[in-house]
Amino acid sequence: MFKKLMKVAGILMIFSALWGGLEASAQNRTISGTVVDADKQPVIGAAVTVVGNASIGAATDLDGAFTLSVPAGATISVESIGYKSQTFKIGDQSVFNIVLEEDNEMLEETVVIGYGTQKKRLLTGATINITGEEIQKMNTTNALGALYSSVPGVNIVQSSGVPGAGYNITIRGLGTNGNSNPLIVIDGVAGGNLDDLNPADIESIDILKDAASAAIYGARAANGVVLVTTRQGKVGEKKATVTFDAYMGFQQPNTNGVHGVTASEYLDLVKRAGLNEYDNIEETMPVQMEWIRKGLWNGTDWFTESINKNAPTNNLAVGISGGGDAVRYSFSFTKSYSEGTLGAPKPTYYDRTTVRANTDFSILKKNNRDVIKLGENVTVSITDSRGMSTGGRGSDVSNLLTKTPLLPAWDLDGSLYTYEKQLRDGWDARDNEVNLLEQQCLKESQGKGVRVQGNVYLEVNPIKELRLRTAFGVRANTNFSREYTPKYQLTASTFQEYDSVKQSASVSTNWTWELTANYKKTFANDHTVEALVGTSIEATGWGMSVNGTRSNTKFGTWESANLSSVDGALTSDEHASMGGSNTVPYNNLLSFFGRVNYSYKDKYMFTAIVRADGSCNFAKGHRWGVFPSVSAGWVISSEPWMQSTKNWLNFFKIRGSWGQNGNCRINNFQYTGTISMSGQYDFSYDQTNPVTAAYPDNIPNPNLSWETSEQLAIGFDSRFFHSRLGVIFDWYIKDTKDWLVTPPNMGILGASASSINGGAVRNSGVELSFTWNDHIGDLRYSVGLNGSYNKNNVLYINTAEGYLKGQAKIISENVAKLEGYRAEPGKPIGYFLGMASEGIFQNQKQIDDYNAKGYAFMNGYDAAQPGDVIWIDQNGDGVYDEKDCVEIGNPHPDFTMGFSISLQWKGIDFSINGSGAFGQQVMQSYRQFALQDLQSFTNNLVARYWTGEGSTNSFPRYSSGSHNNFKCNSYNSDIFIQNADYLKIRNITLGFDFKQVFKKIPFQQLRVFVTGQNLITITGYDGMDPEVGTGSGVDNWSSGIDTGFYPSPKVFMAGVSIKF
Amino acid sequence: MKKILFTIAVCVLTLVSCEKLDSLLDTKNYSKADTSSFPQTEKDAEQLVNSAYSTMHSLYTGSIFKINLFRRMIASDDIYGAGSKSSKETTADDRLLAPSSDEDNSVWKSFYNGLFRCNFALEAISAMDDNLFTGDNKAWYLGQTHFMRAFYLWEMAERWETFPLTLSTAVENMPKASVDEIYAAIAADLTDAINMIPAKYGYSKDNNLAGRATKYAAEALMGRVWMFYTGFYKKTDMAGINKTQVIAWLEDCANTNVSKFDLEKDQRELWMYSNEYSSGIAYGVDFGTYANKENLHWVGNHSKETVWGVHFSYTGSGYNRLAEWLGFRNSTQTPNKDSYPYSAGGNGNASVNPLFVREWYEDPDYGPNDKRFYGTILVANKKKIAKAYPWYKGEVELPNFTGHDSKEIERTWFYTKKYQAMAAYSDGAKTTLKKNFFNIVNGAINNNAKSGNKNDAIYIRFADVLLMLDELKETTTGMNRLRARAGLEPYDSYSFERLQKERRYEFATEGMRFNDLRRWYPEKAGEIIEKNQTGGYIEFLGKENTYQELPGRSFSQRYALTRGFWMIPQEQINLQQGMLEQNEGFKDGQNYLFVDGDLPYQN
Repeated sequence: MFKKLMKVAGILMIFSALWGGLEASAQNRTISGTVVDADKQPVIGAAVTVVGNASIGAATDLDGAFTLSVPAGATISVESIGYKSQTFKIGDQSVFNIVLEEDNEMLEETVVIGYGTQKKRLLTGATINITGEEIQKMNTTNALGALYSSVPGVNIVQSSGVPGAGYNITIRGLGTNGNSNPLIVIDGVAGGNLDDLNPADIESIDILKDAASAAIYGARAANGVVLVTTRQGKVGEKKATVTFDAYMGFQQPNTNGVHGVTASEYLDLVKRAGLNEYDNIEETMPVQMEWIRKGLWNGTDWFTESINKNAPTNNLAVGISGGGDAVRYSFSFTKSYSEGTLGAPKPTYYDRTTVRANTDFSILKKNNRDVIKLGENVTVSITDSRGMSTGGRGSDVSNLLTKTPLLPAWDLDGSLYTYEKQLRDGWDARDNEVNLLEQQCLKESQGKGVRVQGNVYLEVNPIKELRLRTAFGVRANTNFSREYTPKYQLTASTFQEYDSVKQSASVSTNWTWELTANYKKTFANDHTVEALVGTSIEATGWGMSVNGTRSNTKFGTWESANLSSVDGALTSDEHASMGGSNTVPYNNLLSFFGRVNYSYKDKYMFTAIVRADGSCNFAKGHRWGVFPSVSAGWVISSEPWMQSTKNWLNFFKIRGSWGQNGNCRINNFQYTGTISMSGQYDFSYDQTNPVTAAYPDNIPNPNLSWETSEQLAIGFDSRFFHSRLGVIFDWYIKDTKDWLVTPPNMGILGASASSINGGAVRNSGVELSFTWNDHIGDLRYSVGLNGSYNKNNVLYINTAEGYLKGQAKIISENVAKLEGYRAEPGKPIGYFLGMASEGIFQNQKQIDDYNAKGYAFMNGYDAAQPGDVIWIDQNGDGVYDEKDCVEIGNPHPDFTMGFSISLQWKGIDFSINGSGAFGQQVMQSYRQFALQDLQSFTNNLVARYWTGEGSTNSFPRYSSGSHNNFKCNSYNSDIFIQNADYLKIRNITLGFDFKQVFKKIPFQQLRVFVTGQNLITITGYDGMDPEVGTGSGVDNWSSGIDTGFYPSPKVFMAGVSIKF
Repeated sequence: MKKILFTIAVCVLTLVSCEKLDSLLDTKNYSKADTSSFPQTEKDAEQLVNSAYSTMHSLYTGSIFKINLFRRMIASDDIYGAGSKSSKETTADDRLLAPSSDEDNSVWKSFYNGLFRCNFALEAISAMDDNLFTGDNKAWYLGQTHFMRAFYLWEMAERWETFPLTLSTAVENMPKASVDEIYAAIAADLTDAINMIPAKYGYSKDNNLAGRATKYAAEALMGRVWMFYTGFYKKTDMAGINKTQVIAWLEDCANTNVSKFDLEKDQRELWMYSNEYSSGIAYGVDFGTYANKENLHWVGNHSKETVWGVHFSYTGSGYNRLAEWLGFRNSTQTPNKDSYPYSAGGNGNASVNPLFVREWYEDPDYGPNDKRFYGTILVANKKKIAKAYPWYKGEVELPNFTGHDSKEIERTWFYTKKYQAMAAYSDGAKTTLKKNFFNIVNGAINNNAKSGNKNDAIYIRFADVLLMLDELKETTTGMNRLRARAGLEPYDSYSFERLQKERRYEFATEGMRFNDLRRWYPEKAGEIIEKNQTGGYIEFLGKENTYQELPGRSFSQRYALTRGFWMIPQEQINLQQGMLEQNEGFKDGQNYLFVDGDLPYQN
């Protein structure tokens, strides 16, 4: 089988080589020979080329033989994937027998693990390593945006399409009801923020998926760990390397064709729903009806109006790095700016400037070894942005989708249609309708966030085997802002009779301090032991904030408005307010940890880790959590009895691990009953002397303690066919226990709930990834394909009712009888709950048939008509109530996949990659049927309605939203559920490196490229974007609820990348 | 290998068990006190008691459904639902329906917050050493807290009838208590309040005393609750408290010498419309308003007639939303000369029932000579009034006011003056027209007809104490004092009908009528209200019409089901796992939801 494959591959290669060879001009002399490996097996398809003139070359045939005509005195190189390259000069010899050495470099690579590095070959856990190059190629503003297609088992969803929006990362399935993002460790400092980091500064990202790998981070590693290493100067890089990267582009929203309806369509739809609301529309908007008749206007599609056409995005990055024996350095400067695709006429944007400096100094050297080394990594980022609320009822995007089209956004002369114009035209079709665009334009704001994250470290190697290290890391956030709102009158009751200015400033600091000692020694040649002990402390430092608001500014302009540009004292300003807060230093987390690695002949590996963490979030006696883990690996391919497979199986390692990690991410002081002093009452006769009212504001839980995640994982890493093919497989069971849950509590308790250790969930799954790297002549290519399957299943919930309630009223305010999603044993966390249907009554006969069979009808038999939903009375008791509500959808994908293809030919490079998710559902309703009958419609919804026999079997006829078709006895229902499988082409890049063709140019690289991001989404989902990164702003553990969501942008860009 | 691991484990565990290390994680909460260290001083105790009061403000925010006073006004035959087509809350309320299944949820939670805060204060203060307190302050604090708990319980009982009775901070899921258990708890709390609050604290203008619950407020509330309970449930006693005892307490309260509460000289001066800024009296100018003509001067908040009410601070954030809902509207929602001195920036959710106006107007014992008639009823739009009400020959105070045709439903052109938001000129020269006179009283208050209203929400007036005594003792003493004040001849003898009428007109549109009818006619109240309001003239979106009941869900039918009680919020029923039962009339299949398009009018 294998031989056959090789033959086919070989023949292909020969063809391509011949084709390539045709171009080579006949030269002085002909050489020939064979290429074999260490085992004397022929190496097929090896590239034999002339150094400095890649156009002259040949590939070896099935017997490893080649012939080539070359200029005299040329240098020849022989390359083949999986082998170390060789070069030799042609003398008089004309026949060459070349033996290529196997290249195991890929396996000798070291990767970052917690508090150290390790050879990839010796890893016993499931980790993914992504190089900085791979990330930079994607040209994303945030490094996480570049990882979609290459990280099996890691689900990355951008929280929204707002520029600068963060990402939700879930590793191996959602396990907690709290914050499910993994711990981000940047250059050893835990709790960092990837948003602040320029992707071009990243040397590598390592994702630790299994518990054993993450265990050294014990506390807070329950959701996995992402280790980020930034670029460092390298020893021996005497001449500074300067890089310059820039791109510009534009973006369009990924709306999937969704838009609002016109005014006449809308009026028609309202009428078809049986509402008489606009029977006298001629009286309530006489002028606009005239406009419609004259064809001057046909309603406002607020959503489309809000689109910022061709929103610009650009990025500029400059980096310098180098290093000698004493100092290594790496500096960079980045400026990036992106406008959002929504929010016109004042679109959202994100502006970030990042400056980074990494240096290290060798203070004492002995035998070419750094005995004492001091270094620092610092990133300073300055951000400025304008956002928009997205997800959830009442958010900006939801408002744009549901706002009545009857109100003009613009007057005929192109100016904003203001309240005065409503009065002028006698526009009275709705109460208090605000022109959203006018509202969006009102407020001016300016602000900067300055964030500093970094560390300094001292490393001492008194003897070769021992490395002592201490590092002090700091994160500091500073924010300043100034906002100005002019006086306005948007409607009769939405107005402000004065202008106002608000200024605020805040500073917060966190620091970490860690000490580690690492000892590594090889005994008797074969036994290598590495032991690490360490301690770390993480603390909150001093912090403070102040803010103030004043009104009636002196000049009444945005430019001059500030807290001092107001007449009179603070107390004379009726709308003034002042506030402030501070934090007092305290220790958040205290940890002790130890790790032992043992390997025998690099063949058998074993690791044990234990970590103890104390968290201030729990009461004495519940503070400490101890998290152990063990893991082992066996490189089977190194066994002597595996020699026979050597020619096709280069590497095969089995690994297994078990471990525990903790989570303590909750609000502090829930173990005790805190007293709120925010109440007031006034017992003074002149009513100007309110006194403080104090009350307990929560029901304390003194027993609160750690949430634990426990994972058992087994997998293998393998490389085949001279490492051309890589296959990685993983299987895992991850149980998260003692969930930190804050269940909604009964009103009769009289105060808000505290968290409890309340549940457990199991995620189990498999991950499989394939990579293939090879070349056909000059054409180098690689293909990656990975997929993962995960099953999410709640094991138990400790609350009185045995399940965890989500929110009711997800679809509409009046759909209130039962929560729309839930965490319940035996079901995936956050599954959708509601009434199920089995189609739509297409005709009266069908209704009669159902009636004859004795079916129950939600509105009674007499009321049923064609176009109504056939609800399922699950228990057949003739009533539709809570007992008939079942699982109607699962927001978690069963299967996620990623793929990437990259090609390189001479100076040209091309790559395409994408990712997909399958098996999940989205609950979507942009309008609130049962509450707001007059909200607008979107075209995708219009297309869904039943309009007559045979038109659809999944969505009902037009009717008032209070009909049970839409509110189902006030229960949620499956008519709002859709399959949301999707496949997205995330990135297509075409580049050309001039250096590859014009060797003389004084650059190491001069590459130009064009990139398209998010260009194609293949989905059956009819809403805007099937990748819904939100549960509509309610519980952390809910997802896949689309009530109006800022879609991700399509990006078209071109750029240049230069290296000196 | 094992040894190393073992050593690490031992080290770690030793460190962990070390007390000193553990204490590194001790965190002091600098921004909040906690229950282990609070309350420690008399001041702390006082702040806990304040929180029992503070919760009342939350009963005035959010949905109009939260305000029991307003709900009772709307549900009675004094006022129609009116409002704009989109204000489903009021239309639903007027017809004993619900606009959504969770409309009561936030008020439910607010009431239980109130109970919890009372319970906590009672437990914590009782446990404090007596020596920490000055004089009889401990009893004073505890007594006030008992009063507040009784007040919340009574408001809840009047609203939901039965509910889980939480009388301590240790609460577990529990079913509704029985009616008798609830009234026993109220009676016990009020008795404690009467016994514990020192008698020396009567009506007072002193700082820190204005607006506090007094022994006399407890006595008056006891009267109110006792009369409802014995009337509605047809009992003679309430938790062992008999009529004689109640009369004694009410007489104590009515004794001006001890309680210092009393009638004001003119009932109309209790209400904001008589303020001196709107009338110009403050500037020495006559703006020609009703208050000018009648020479009225608002007595301000903290009137000696307010035995019990909710107070708002001029500098705090709470406000009385009653005016926002009751306040009438024009198309710009801004006051102008046609609406002056009223603000016209409200939601217009209340129109006075014209059948009720006629009854009063034509009653020989009352009529327009009753100062309270024009003191209560605001008549607007001369043309419409003349056309719709030929029987009405009286004053039209706002002759040119035209309202807002395209918004108002069930508009009668009769509005209530009590609680009406008031506009005012900023000075005698009428330089600017403020939407809310409170803004002139104190610049810190919003110049907004909605959020700028800082007037008291009055629950028990001294007049009520007098009338309760008359009703219990079958005397005319109180009635005749009120009649004299209103410019009417005294009654020569007591009759129940006279008492009923006196109550109706004295307390018109104050939220008293609904429960009066319920306690007088527990079964028939629905029919009475239906009869008293059906067929009254209304305008629906500017078109002439008459007030109609909903087919199949008329007021009397709804009352027969609900007996005037309200819906238990669905969310709480869900959260309590079947332990909490829905009230009659709001169960599945009882068609309780009021939705768009349910109103029976054609336009």
